[in-house]
Amino acid sequence: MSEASRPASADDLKRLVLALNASGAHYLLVGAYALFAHGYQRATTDIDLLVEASVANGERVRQALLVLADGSARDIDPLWFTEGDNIRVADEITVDLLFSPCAQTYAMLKPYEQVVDLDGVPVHTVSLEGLLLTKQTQRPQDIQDAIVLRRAIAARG
Amino acid sequence: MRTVGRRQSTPPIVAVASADALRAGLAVVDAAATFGWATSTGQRKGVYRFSSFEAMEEHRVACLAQAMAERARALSTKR
Repeated sequence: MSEASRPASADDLKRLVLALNASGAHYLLVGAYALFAHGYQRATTDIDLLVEASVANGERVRQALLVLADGSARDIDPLWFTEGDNIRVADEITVDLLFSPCAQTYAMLKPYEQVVDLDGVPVHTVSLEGLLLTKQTQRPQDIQDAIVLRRAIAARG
Repeated sequence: MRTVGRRQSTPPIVAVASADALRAGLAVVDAAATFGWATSTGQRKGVYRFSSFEAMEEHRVACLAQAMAERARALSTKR
């Protein structure tokens, strides 16, 4: 077993999303994998999920993440979901659990939800506008992403 | 910009998320793994908590840089 996680593959994403859906987790796929769904391809290594900040959802997300091979999620305390800190789960792959990227909570981004049917697996992600709201940081990658997203929104009309 | 030859234009950003677009992106990630370009995030397995996005990003970058350095050392040893 490797000591470090590896980049997530298509199969990893499907397996993870299947487990999230099965557990009834409240999540939205954001980050680079969400950008993919809008036709924007760039390098990435981990899966970013915006999750609802509640203990009940913490239980559901924890349960879903146990689908990953190394069981890192066993160490998650669902109470953490009410404490605000971002959580990184480095298992066979890395999954980042975000509660309020750029002050955007799950409830705030839920109206921007879009569902993609990936080979029979519903993937809950967000629209271009929703993604743009999560990109208001000074990180160079986010600045670049925001430029593309703004131009795509403008071009769409 | 001038498009020459039979070059096709870049696929557009799509207004609504689509499975085809997602599959195309995932194919790029899978190709990187297939060719062995991206084999490790450098992040040791476990659960981490970060009080800020910046701290989380710093951890990601530091781990990635360390993994790249180790890879470079391993490759230079093989020669």
